[in-house]
Amino acid sequence: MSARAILFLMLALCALAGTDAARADGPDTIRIASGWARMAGGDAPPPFPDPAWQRIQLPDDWNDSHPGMGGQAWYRFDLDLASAPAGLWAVYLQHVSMNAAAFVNGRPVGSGGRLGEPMANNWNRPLYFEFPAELLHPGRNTLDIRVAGYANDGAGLRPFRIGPTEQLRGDYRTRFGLQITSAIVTFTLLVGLAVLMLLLWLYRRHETVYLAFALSCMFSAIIALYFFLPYPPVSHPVWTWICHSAVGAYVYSVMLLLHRLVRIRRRMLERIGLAATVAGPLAIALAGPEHMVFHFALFDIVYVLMSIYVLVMLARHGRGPGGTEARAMLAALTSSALFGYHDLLVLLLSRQQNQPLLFFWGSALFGLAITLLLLHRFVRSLHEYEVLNAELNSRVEEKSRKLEASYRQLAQLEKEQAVFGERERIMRDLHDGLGGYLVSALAYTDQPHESLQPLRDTIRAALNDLRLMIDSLDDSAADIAGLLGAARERLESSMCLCGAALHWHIDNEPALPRADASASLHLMRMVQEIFTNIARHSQADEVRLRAGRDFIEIRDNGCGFDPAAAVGGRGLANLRKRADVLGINLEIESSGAGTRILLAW
Amino acid sequence: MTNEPAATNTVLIVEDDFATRSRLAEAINQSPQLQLAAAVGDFRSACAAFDRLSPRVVLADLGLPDGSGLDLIRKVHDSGTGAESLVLSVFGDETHVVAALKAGAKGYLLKDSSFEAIADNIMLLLDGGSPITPKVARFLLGQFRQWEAEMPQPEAAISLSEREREILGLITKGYKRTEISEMLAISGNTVGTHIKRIYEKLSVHSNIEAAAQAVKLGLLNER
Repeated sequence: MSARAILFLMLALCALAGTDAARADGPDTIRIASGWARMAGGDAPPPFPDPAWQRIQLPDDWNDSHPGMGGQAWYRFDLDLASAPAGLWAVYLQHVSMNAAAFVNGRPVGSGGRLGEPMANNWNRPLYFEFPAELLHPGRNTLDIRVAGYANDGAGLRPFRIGPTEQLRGDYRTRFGLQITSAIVTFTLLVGLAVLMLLLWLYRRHETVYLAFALSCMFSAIIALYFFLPYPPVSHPVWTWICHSAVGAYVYSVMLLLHRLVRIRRRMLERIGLAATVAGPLAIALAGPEHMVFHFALFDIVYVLMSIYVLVMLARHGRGPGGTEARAMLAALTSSALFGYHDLLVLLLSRQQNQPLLFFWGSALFGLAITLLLLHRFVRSLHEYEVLNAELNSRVEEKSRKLEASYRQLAQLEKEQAVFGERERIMRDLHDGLGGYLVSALAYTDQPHESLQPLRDTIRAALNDLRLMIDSLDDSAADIAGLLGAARERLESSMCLCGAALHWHIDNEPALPRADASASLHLMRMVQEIFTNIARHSQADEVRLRAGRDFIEIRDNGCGFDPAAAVGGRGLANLRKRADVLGINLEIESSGAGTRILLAW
Repeated sequence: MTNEPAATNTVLIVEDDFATRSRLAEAINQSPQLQLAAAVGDFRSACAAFDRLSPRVVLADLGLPDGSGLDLIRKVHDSGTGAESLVLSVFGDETHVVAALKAGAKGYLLKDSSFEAIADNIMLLLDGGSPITPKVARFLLGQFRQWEAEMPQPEAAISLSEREREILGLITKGYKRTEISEMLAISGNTVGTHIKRIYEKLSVHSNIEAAAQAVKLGLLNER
């Protein structure tokens, strides 16, 4: 969006609008500028000649010729023709306010709509009435124009032309396109934009830039409506008030919009602007419909100041390195403002200077520029979103990779920890069991004269302990019934050696509350210890082992011992220590008739 | 040394450790019902002795200096001479014993068993029973449970009967053959027969497994 292109377009439009006077008339076209006029109503021309008719020279501006008067007027013009014309002719009224009808030799040839109240609003609409040339004849013809207008509203008639259609139609069409079709197109465009922006804002309430833009589009749509709508929905003064108030509201909403687009906050200024935008039109409404347009034009000075402020603000913002957007907006808004100033000058000086009003062109340009800008921003933010998204994705990927790696590391550490723990346990168990037995076996070999029996017992004990360890390494070491079962043959053989019978009874599957290899080994070592003690000291001939879900009971019918007195027994102390480690109850009852040891958990 | 029945109960000892071998030989020699055929220390001499002497029972250690005891057990099993083998083990753990059972051994013998226990176990074998440890029993229970879960339709030839399962369960808890026969009100021989049958099922299943493995490896054509 180049600022130069917008300025160029604007100048071209101004040039086009101002071409009317310079356009050369065709050879048969007659420019009408002088005749008679009288204020009167009626569907047919009033009688002529009559003293009420006054000689006039066009343009006839009612503000000057009939101040404070409105209603209808008749104009009569003489048309002298040398020869009878042929084909289609047309009456072409470039500018009439508000409406007109034309009569050729007393015959009506066309009208721009209603002339009575409410009359058609044709102040911006060129009127063009075609008629067959047969209505004209050589010599003097009469041409009557009936004009309807409001008081102090710039009503009146300007010089006009009559001639063959081929010499007038082109000019008429160009003017119609510039003044009416373009207003309709602009109106449609602005309403569409307003709806779109309003929807956008509804979805994104915090972005008030959309609301400001929607408002500016809405107000400028109302203004565009004023240019082409022949029959407004309300009375003429109210309609005039609404449309002129919309001009102020438009400029104000543009200020709001631009504040948000360049991201600055001027609360105070916006409040003052709002107050003026509300208070001004209210005051004008209270002053009454008379001279309303002029009052508005005077009040518009406030908005000229406001627009100058906005332009200066944009210019300052456009100076920076990132000011491309601001510069583009400045260009669009400058054109819009120039159109507005132009119209204001026309309104303040007079509306009868053959100058069409251009305001809606400016607002259309500005609306387009802002739309392009927002689109540009939207696309850019989409791009940014995509880039951010890609970046986020890669970061998430990296994070999850890291997480996975650290998880693997953790699992590895845990595994190492478990292996280390198990290794430590095995070493401890080997040291406590096998190591001790081997040391004591070695000690026996240092006394060669001793009997071999203790050595044999020690080695057997070492072997048994090794078996217990191997059993406890089993995958189901928590299955105490299995461990007891596996140990039975060894226990039994030790009993056999001392001549005792072993009675075996396992009710339910015993299971330790803390089911791990270490606990099982401790428990089995306790059982082994108890049997060793029985074999060594009890002289029993019957031993019974009973196991249930939460206990192991071992009884013998030996000579018994005093548990309290037997402090010197290493075996008993070991039993107590292991029971503490395991957290199980150790009960020992002993008498001369035997001993009962209960391990319960 | 030349009792009539004893002459048939010849035992071949295959054990590479000299002390253990001597001790086992001593145990056999002290038993009036058994007769030592030979005591050798390596795989080659064992094969030669087995072929030459045709012993009734082979006691085989697994780790021999010039071969595997498993191969020897397989050879005995496949010889068709009616000879039976026991694996010699220190711990009676399932890893060693089950491999031997799968190869066709009829039981195990702990190396440090008393002379009495050694003779008893061999006689038990000759009477049609099979020695078993609680740990091996527990392993078998688990092994068959796994096989049966994998089988779409339980086949009697390779799955355990209710009674067999019951017996294995009791053995696991350490109960002895005689106790089990009392508890279940069956004869001690019947218990032994059950165990022998379980071993056979294990062996059959192992053969099926081996065949399936061979098919998988493309060594055999399917059907």
